[in-house]
Amino acid sequence: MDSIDKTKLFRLRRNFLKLFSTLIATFLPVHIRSEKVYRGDGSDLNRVAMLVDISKCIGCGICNIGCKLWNNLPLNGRMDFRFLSEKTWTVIIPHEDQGVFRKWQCMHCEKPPCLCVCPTNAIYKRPDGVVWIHGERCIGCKYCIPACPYRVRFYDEEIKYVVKCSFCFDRIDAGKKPMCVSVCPVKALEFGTREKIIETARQRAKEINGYMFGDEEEYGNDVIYVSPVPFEKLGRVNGFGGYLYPTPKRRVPATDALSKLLLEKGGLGLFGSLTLAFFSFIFWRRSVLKEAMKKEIPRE
Amino acid sequence: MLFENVAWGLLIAIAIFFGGLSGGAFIVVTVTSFLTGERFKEIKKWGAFIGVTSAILCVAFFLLDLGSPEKFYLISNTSSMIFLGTMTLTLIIPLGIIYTATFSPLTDILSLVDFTSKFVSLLNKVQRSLEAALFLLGVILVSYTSLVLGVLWSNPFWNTPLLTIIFFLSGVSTAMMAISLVLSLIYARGLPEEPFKMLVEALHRLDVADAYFLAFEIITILTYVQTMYFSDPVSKLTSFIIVEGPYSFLFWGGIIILGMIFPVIVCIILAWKGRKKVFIRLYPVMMIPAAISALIGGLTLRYVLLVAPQTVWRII
Repeated sequence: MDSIDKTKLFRLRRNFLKLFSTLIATFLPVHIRSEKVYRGDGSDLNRVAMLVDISKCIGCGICNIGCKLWNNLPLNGRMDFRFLSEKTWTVIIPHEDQGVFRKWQCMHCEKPPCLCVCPTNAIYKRPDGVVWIHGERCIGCKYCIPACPYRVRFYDEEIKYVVKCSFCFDRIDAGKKPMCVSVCPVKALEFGTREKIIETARQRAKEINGYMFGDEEEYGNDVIYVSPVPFEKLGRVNGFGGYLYPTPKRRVPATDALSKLLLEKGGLGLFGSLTLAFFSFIFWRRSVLKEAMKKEIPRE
Repeated sequence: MLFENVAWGLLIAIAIFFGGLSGGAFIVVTVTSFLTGERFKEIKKWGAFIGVTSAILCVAFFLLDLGSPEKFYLISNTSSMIFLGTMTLTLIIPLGIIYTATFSPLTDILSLVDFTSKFVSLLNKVQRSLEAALFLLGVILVSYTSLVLGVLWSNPFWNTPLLTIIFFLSGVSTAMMAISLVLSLIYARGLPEEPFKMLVEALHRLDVADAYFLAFEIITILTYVQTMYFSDPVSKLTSFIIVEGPYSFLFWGGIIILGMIFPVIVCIILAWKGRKKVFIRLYPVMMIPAAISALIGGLTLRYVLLVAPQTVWRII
């Protein structure tokens, strides 16, 4: 009797250890966070930024044409001004109800979600903050497209990689401003170091008694907006303001998002309890079947 | 609507369907082996075959969707969920092939030859370890899609752990249906009475388990859509276009009725009356339409959950 109990105990212990180690093995990778989330240097004094002053913008669309000319993109007619695509990297969106226009393009996020999810490390952030793509490394999986909170990325079938606003980094390297900034006839766009641009934006927001967007979102974008109307009223299009405005809880780099999904959204509890229930059922069912088989074939 | 111009469309939906089917098949095979040993060898054999074939098809469809498939070897970012899927598929295909080989009649012939018999006996020895590895990889593969989508916090409709439960249940239930379909198609005719009874017994086990899985799946998916409807506005709009908007036909007709309710009803009828002497020969015949509709439902589920949230951004 004693020996049977010991065997049972041994089996129970072994099964428990199996179950425990399986659970650990399943959930351990969740806590492994990559250090590659951000490959730029946020504290870099050379970090550049652009100010978009919505109160000054007249919606002429010269920025759109300038961008196309500099980046060698085709001009396809009026719709080019309104919708972003692989051939249109910046657009002007009219808000007739508010009486304003706003320019729209890649925000060059501080911790870009597109960079985190890219499986080939094709997306990178330069020390000056510009987010760009190594075309030759892009495999065209398009994972970065739904990952972008602002929906500014598009896959170009011709060149076989994902494209978006480059911030005209070739011009920046040559000591010039991005093309859209250079051609803006009403000086609604300004370019400079991020510190200077944020300071200007704060002053401007104070002057017009308006609002700022981009200095804190996604840990700080490189495109800063100043608007005379609340950004919630400029929402509903391409993830800007309104109900698509990323709330603080949603401001998570994609790699941290897995642990957030499991730890904060109740995933770990849900998965853990379901795994335990599943294994308990399997072990219970096995014992039932063993008992049934013993009854079918009586041992001598 | 079927061929929406979105980043991830029909090809990816098919790829993740086969991924789920493969993972589910390996889970069914390993659990069957753990519970019943050698009793239902046909389930194990055909389950493993379906698992390997689906994993290969999954890779094929992923590669078809890739813009530059020739550069797939560049996948190296360990923090990307695609890396996890690539590694899982890279491991599950060779291990699955080795495991399937243990059921091949070729191994019986090879065991007769001197220098290959050692290899065959080694294969038989490692079968248990292979099953353990395949179970773990199967669980990862079946949940993988939900993790790929779940980490995209920019789309709150995907950013929920409930998605994992749905994909797990759907993967396992479609795998059981696929195994039932293959068994029904291959062995339905020409079997003598005793082996036929054994086949019906195997189908019955799968059928009962599948009925439970599908019933849970209906509850989970309705809970998911309902929960999302009462959360943030983006999820609300996505739920709306799925339940009442342009995807409602696919959701109610393809997923709920064709993919879940119809197979559940057939499974219940078969479990209740199917093994009676009068109906026993009809068992595999009735299983075929139920299995096909469940598989179509599984594919539709993935398509709708993948594409609908991507189209919301254009509506807004």
